[in-house]
Amino acid sequence: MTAPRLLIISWVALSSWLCASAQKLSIEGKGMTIKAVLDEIQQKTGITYWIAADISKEAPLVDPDLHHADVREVLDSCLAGTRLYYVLEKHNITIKRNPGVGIYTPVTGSITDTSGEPIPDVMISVPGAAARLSSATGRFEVPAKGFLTPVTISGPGYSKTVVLSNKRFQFVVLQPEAEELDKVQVQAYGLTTQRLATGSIAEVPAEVLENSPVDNVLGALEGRVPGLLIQQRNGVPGSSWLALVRGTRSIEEGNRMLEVIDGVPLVDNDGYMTVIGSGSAQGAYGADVLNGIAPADIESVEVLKDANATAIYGSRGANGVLLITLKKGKAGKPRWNAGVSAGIDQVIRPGKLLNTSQYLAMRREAIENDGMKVDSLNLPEGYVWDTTRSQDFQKYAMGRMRWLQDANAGLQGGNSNTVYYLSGTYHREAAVFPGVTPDDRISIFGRIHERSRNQRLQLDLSIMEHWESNRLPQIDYSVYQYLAPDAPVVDGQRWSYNGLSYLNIPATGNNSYRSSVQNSYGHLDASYELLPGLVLKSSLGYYRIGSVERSLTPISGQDPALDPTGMTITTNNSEHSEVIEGMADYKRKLGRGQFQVLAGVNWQEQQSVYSMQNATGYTSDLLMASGGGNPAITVTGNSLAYRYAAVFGRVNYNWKDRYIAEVSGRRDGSSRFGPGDQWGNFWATSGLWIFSEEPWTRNGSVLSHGKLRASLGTTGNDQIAANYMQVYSPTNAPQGYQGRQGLIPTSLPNNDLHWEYNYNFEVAMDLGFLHDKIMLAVAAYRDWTANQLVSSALASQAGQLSVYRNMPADVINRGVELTLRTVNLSRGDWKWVSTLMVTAPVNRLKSFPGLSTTQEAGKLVVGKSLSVVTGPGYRGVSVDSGLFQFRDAGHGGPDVGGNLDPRYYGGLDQVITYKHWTLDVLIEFRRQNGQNPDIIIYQKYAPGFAGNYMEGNAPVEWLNRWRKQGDHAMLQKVTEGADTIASQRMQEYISSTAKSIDASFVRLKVVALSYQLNKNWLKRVALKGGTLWLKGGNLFTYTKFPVTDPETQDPTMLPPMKTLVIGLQVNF
Amino acid sequence: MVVLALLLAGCRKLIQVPSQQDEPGTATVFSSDADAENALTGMYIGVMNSPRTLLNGGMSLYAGLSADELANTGPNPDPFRTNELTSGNIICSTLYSTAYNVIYMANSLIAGLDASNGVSPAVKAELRGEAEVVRAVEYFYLVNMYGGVPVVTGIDFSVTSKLARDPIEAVYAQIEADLADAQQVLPAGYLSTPGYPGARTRPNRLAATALLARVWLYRGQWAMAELEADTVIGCGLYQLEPGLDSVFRADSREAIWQLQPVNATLTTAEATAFDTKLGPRPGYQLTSWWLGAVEAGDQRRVHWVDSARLGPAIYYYPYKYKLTALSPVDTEYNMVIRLAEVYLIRAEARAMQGDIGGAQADLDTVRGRAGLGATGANDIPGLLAAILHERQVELVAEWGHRWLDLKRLGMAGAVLGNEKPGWVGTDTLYPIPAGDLTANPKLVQNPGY
Repeated sequence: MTAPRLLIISWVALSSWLCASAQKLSIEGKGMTIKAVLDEIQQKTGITYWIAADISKEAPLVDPDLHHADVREVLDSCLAGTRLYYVLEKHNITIKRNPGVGIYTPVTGSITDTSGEPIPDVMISVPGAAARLSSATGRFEVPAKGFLTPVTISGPGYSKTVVLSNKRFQFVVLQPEAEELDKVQVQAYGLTTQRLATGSIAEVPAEVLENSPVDNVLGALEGRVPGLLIQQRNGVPGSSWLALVRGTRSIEEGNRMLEVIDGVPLVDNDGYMTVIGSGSAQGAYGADVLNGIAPADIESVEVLKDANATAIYGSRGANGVLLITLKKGKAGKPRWNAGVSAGIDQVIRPGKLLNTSQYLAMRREAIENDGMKVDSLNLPEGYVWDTTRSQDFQKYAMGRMRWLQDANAGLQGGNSNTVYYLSGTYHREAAVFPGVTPDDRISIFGRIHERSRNQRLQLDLSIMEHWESNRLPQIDYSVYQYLAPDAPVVDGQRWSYNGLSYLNIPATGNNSYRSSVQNSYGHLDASYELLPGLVLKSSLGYYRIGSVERSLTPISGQDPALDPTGMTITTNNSEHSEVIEGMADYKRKLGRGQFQVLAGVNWQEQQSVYSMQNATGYTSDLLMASGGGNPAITVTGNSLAYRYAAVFGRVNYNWKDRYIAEVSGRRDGSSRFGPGDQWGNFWATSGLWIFSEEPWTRNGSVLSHGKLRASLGTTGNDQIAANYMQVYSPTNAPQGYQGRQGLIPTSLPNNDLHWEYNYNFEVAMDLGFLHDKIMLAVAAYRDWTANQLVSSALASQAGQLSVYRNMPADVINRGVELTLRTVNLSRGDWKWVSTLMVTAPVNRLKSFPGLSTTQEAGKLVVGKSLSVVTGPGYRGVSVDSGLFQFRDAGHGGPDVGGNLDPRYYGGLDQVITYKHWTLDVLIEFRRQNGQNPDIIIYQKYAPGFAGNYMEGNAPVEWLNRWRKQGDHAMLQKVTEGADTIASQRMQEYISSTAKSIDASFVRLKVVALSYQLNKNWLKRVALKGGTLWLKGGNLFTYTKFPVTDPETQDPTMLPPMKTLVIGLQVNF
Repeated sequence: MVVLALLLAGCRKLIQVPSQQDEPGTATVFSSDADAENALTGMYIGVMNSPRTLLNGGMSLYAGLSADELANTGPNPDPFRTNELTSGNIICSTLYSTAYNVIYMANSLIAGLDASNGVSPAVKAELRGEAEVVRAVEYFYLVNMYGGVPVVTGIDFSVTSKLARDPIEAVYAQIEADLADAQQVLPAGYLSTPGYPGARTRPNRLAATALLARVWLYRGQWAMAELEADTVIGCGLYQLEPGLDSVFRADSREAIWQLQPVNATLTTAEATAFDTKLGPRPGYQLTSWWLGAVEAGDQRRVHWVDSARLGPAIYYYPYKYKLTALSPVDTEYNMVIRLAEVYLIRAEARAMQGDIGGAQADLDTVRGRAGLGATGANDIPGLLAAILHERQVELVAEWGHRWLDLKRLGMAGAVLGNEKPGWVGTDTLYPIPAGDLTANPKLVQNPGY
């Protein structure tokens, strides 16, 4: 007897808190005895066995070739076709001999989901017989040969389950979820698993997204994805979010990632959704484009970070890709779910302001510092107003609490051929400003998945409509907190009191903004399995954003002393994108591995059209409301088209789940570039080695999973504002030439305009210890963006003073990302899992020949971050003169200060479950520099000066100002404006290196507690399931950042909201 | 089958990435006669949109200051008046860059028309001719103010931004070629817009001819200057306005080419620059040299000069253009070239060729309209001096004629060196802007800067 050649590698997957038999292992070998197999199982899972010697002899030699199978699967495959069967207890296997002979017997059973609900139309198959479907009551009957025939049960939405025919009646409970490492991840044009992914893909599933009480999916990703920096721009409902994947790559062009909804790219507008949203309280960036996707309709979000994951998006993938997968239904009897929730919003941590006596003391001091007389002329608010009054304008402007409400209802079900999902959601919140500022959103989403009987043809259709109506004031009321605190009681009528005018806050609330936005999404996916292993797919997608905005500035919202007239702005904006894709996916065994090829074509068109009507000169608010009167109307508009086409492919070879190599490429063309430069090639290559599968690791039982991967590739950024063509713009001379307006060429044609090239290199290692109870993933990346598109100066003779062109500037982004996941406790009813995510990025302008000829000259410094702060070198406040000090000029150019980048950021997530209770606590942390809010206060209000409209109050930081010789102060002496040196120093301070200060923070980002209601109790009210939950967002923040919140940083913007929501979700 | 069809559809689309259409591109603009004419209108608006550029009052003001006819009234010395310009002077560099911006519009128009299939041949010819006239006039003033400048006729910045300065002769060659071609392709009559009958706001063949007469005069080609001037004077389309107050009106019969203001009040840049009604005193006044040069009884001293009194001081300022922001609109246009100048061109050309009688006749035509008697000059040097004097008075504060005359005749040093302290010979040219020298190292600065 030849000694069997054994080659066994096994490893244990994550789910170690489950009973040992559910542990996964890989086992392969030639001519193994059953005992050898059992030995391996024992060694790797700790499950002991008992097998009688004669039985052991009877068992045939086997050639197991199983990967990531559970113990049952291993045993099933080894014992299939024999008279042997096994009894698997918790930690022990007993192999027995069946006294009977192999006979043909029916196996019957029932199939339910985890809640005990029967699942109809699930496919049950046994070798050598036609597949059957489960009945409406979940019952099935299949013929099986012998007692040990594997019976495979598969239904859409459930993990595949195999039982043996060793029982006459099988109770089968289908599990809806896969295990952590093997959870299906969406990748570009396909699916993979965390175990086998060769690129850098971070996934956030719905359960996690749902724990964040936010109205935009980006908010739910904050602190949860390594390498993804999310920053809320302000706390006004619907306003934009900054989302950066692995740093700023482009100096002047778009840095927003590509957002793809089930394969349909969102209209690419650098995250904008509206035309004049910037003219509302939402601030400079307006509304966020992802507002149009209700978070409740999202199944999962994947962030693709490295070139291997994004190269297949070619010229659009440089900034990373956000893949949003919408919910799919689960087969079964129709199931309803409904939920309601309500909560409150309140602003985070507004910094304190001076009270009346402190304010007046500062003003008096300023006047005295300037050698002027403190009298009613210089300090009117100290004489004509009641100085005993101290108003809390901060509380008035943004101190309110606002309700937010959510409701949703859904229906899903189906059988193995048809699965449907329908949902409707409603969301309402309001800004914490005075006045009525509702933001209402309604969404309807429907999806149907159809599979032919022979499983070869699959169709998937999804449609979504999302409506949003948002009413806001035109400006962020946060600015009103700086009104002099003794300003008269605001009554909405008066704009002056005792002859001294001030800003009438309630009246300016008449200056309103309203947007109505409709997002439409449609997607049809068809796939057909032409030959075994060859699947053809096609996809049609559509996305449209239509918005109507109206901004009203009535006479009643303006100071009557200025003799104002009314003004309206109305816009109509429509953007839509269509995508057509065709793909072929081919899989086959090649040698001892799996070979997969994907090839496809893609075509996309995007159009946007807007018109804006500006009507001025209304002499009456009533006329304005009716559109009457005789306004002067100007209409402007624009239309933009973009077309994009590509061929792409990917080849993947997987050798026994141990070595994987992948190459992908794309050739794409974009209409944004000139002839000859429209087409570009992008590629990526990557390799993966699961070394825990190697024989030499099999004794190291501490290591349960080990994976090393590396990738290298290119992507491009075609998000450019410039146009390669010569563009003519309509003239707007006050009078036309001979009564006509004309067209003027406003740009130079640049046929050499090309996308910015991005090169990416990444090395990553995943390690799992103690049966994956501890999992560590570390990735190091280096991103190099060349060919930067910047505006550079030209000699006048060219006809235009500057042109957008590709410059040989290199921007480097490098960093390390770390995820550590530990199962701290998994015993009985308890489970406690912690996840720590940390990202440490570095951004650097490596080189920029010709920097001085561009508009970035003086702003950027080679060798520093793109967010570098330059200006007079700040040296503190002089103890003697009380003035800001700066490094002496004349050493050639401005000083270089710090930057505004994060040094590291991340989150620590703790999930604890006990029986029906689940608690998720996410702590977000960020070590970063940010924009000094004092500078913005100086810029806008210059505390000490007699404020325009009496805006000039200061944060309490101004108590720490220089007052007398010997003071070690933070801020210089106050001036009323007459001290030209102090005023000039203030201006220098504004542009100085003092701009960058520590803006680090630690924030209790999410607390979500849920309780699954008792089933027996629910049955009495005819419910099948129910969850009661409580979610908190931004509940507590620790920071040393002054004046305002360290995330929004601007003291004239509304800080983020603290949110507390309670809700109930039921199924019936 | 569906999949295959989609694949094929995808492939077909794949090979064409159509051009972008956000704002109209060149191909769209030059797809029809109407849109191409919009580009032409755009060029005129480009010329007239900002005041005090070379073609919109800038020559009249700044070259007037640089010569000896205008002075600023404020306390600070104006570097144009004191001839102490530096290469960093913003006005000086704006004059230069806006001129090239208009040239770019003209070049774009010509390139767009050349490549177009949608514009009819007749319209193509007209528009090209007009663009050539505008380009020629810009180069004419550039070469006279800055010396030899880069001759740019294309729109590819990768080429045009790197061109070195051309010799003065090459610039004139371009001007002559443009005007000669315009003479060929432009119609004899004026094209006008409905609502503006008879307007001479788009140059015709005779405008190109008159400008060419001026160019030949500057180039010392007397016979050709006389020939072109003959054509203009003899065509019968123009006559000197008998009333001096009517010369600069929109309906002036003396006008050969005018540009319409496009600002809100439709006032000319000259009227605004010299207007006193908006302040206590005019910003600029006529110099004592000019006032002293005017003969007694000259009606131009009465009709084309106004005065403002502030305390003991009296300011005399140009009053050719009379309509300001406070006046009724749309009756004065910016006069580019008019018949009186053509008479003076022919007078000089005839005198240079020894035609004393012919020169006298032309000179007296202009003098007569101003209420002056026949000239007493009867030999060539005398006539040339009389013509220069007549140009000084007739063309005062108009397109910097005085500055250009003194320079082309080589008299700048003799005249201005005598009048202005600190005059140096290199002051005859303005400096090339410093920013241009940085952006294009091939450019060489004029001497003296």
